[in-house]
Amino acid sequence: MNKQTVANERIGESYRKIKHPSGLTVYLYPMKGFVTSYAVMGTRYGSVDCRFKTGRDEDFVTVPNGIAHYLEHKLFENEDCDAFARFAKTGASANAFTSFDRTCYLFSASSRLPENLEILLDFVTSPYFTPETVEKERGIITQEIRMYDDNPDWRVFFNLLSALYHVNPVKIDIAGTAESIQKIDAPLLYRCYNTFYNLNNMALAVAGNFSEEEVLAVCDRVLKKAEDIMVESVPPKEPELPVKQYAEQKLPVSLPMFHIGFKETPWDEGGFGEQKGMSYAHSCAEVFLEIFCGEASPLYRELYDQNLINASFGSELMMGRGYSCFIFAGESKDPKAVYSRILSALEDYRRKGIDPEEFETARKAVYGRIVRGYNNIESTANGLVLSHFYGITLFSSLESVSAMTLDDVNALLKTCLKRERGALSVILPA
Amino acid sequence: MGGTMGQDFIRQKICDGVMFNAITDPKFKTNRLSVNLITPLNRQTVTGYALLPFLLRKGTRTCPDFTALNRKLNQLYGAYLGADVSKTGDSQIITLFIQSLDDRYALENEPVSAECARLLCRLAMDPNFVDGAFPEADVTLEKQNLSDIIASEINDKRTYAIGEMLARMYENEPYGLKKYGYLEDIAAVTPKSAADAYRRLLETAAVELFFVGGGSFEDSFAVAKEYFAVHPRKGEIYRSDFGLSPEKVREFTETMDVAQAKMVLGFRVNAAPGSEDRNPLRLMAALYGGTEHSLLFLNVREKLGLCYYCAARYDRHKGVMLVDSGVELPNIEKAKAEILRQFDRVQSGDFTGDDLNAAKLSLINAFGSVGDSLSSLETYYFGQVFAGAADPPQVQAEQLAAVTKEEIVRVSKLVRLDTVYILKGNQSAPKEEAAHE
Repeated sequence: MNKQTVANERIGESYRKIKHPSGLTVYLYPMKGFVTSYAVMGTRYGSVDCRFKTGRDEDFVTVPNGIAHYLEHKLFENEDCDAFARFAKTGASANAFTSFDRTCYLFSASSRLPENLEILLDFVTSPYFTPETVEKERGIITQEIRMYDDNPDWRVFFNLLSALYHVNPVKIDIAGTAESIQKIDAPLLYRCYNTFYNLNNMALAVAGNFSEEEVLAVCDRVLKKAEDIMVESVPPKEPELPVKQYAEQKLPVSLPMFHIGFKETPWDEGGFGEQKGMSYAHSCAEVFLEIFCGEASPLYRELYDQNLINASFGSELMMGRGYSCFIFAGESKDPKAVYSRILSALEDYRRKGIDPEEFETARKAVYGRIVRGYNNIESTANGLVLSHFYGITLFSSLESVSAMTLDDVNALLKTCLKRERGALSVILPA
Repeated sequence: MGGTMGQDFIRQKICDGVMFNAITDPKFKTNRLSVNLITPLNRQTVTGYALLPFLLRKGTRTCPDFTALNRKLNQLYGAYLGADVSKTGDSQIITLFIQSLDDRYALENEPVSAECARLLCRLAMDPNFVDGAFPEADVTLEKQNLSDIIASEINDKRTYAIGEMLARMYENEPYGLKKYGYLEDIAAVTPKSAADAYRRLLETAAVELFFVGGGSFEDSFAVAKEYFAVHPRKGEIYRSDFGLSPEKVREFTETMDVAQAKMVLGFRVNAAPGSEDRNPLRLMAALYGGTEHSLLFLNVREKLGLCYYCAARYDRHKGVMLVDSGVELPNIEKAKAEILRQFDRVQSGDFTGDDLNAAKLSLINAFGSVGDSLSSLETYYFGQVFAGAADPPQVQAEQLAAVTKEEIVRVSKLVRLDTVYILKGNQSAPKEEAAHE
């Protein structure tokens, strides 16, 4: 077993990365003084993985939108019993989520770690789908999709992605649509499962209160060696420019809601210019957004004082496998005015550059927020799985912020946040 | 291994009406300090008080500029300053809090926590008054912001439906009031009336400060004492009324352009907040609809496939139990009948020892994890203080473990359906698909 320690001297923290003989990569982050243990098992498989093949397949297969999420729901059922029923006997709180590019299964428990971990590893590695059980889930998932149809925050976000992306499946709701999930059946679920739920395509992270020995003993007992089948998931080729620069929908909301987005070349396809890796690009963006439109920025103040934004305003760089975009979100009586002000403010920064003192202050703020995140068992374990899939370490962002230079942040502005790559999505009150 | 052993709950008096509570544990890298002003919910004052945290968040006499204040927070390693309003039982709670990096992680040994405590105390106690009133520009903007918050309640249909059900169930009772107040009362607020409301609130509210974090609370306590011990206050935590059984169930239906109908059932619980029955009631609600092994989850969702969520929760501070679900409109009656049928099962003891055990283990697991996060520690001990107790989570866990099936059946009979609220779609309206091509 290949074991290594990943340490960070700056904050005096470390964790273990172990390649288990089964093929699974295991991350262990014991946290002194904590009572709870939190374990998350994830696969590099999300809603964007609709077209794929393994080394054994001749051709790519295209599957219906929403299937990764459907599979997540169905995996909780095994042949003889339901995973929730097994966790009911230990008291652990279990859950799962599907995102654009990963699916994770998790539990949080204040006792009986080995027993809970055994349930987790066992149910994730024991699929059981029949036509009847697959059919039963369709009603529940349809209600989940319908719930999101009524959620304006969700709609404004996906309407933006639909405006930005021509063919990338990131534009489709993670759960799929009421129509697309009709085509999902047991054989298709097995095909997806057998492709993506290969231990070589997965990671397990445990954080909190446990010992390395007890976790590895459970892994040894439950996991069977998996051959690496070389998964290839290739999204359709996406053009550089958005589909359209404006989208609107009417829903029962009080004030218009907006999402302003800028489509960037994905980090894994050479985006973000000469930046030093994904984590570095992301950290530069975080520092820039703090300077540009954080609560301490002149732009935030101006928009707030003119009553163009309220306290719900926020921004982020969303990055995942095969997609990257900046998003500015909020509520406004005049979203178009906000959009045009953001565009002109970006031009100002491009022309004048960033003030070195503002850069230092924003960097300090971002540093503090990252360190504060290491308090939390859930975010630590989830962060380990995410870092694994992106080929970085949990400490990469901390190191990026420490190493960052003003020039790098200014350089970001040269390649990103271009007017012709922007779009505005608005939800208007019905 | 047990980290909670070191987590003593310390409660000290600053002066009459002002208490300082602290829970510290070196495993945390963050400190959080909050100031909570607790006052009875009242239709006359609720809106004016709801505006205050947002006005106070704008600046202090010593740092009146909002942008400069936020820059200061960034210099304090991105300290997070929050302002909000909440409702617990029949009380409205005005909160300001600051969350920051512990001094041990500061790059140049800055006293981050003490500076944050001072900033928070100044914001609460030394506002930026101009001629004894809040600045007019701030009042105008924050009135608009509060209007936006109140109006935006309709954006999240699940929360909206719960709020509307409670407003109807507790019509003419304080608990039915909306925590952010009412749009029609905002226009009348002036810089002067807001300042008067602030002074009155400080005079009458019970003040509870909470420090939760990895560092020492001594510095924060000393700062808080400096600002809050100026003069004693009259405030006391007000005890909530609890519900008596309704004459008959009332049903309300509202129409809105929604895809999925929302149903909320309100039950009155005839047990005083803080009574001995609180843990059996908590367990009863978990068994009924609080977990993935509950009767509601297993039957309404898993067996009948009627919904994605159908959950029960018990609010011990008020004595109310809610069940809410999102269902297709044609299935509403079927879902309601099943929800009530499952409650009959609880009341007649038609559940297994495994069902009860699963609910127990789930709650015991949750109490076991309280000590691992700042927010759950604060929420937990705030609940204790609010109920006039100071028991650690382990005590609740032990009491829960001892609850019997007979007790569950007995306390379930203290619970009676009062109000049903349904938010349904306007099915004739055309569906808007403009954004999709």
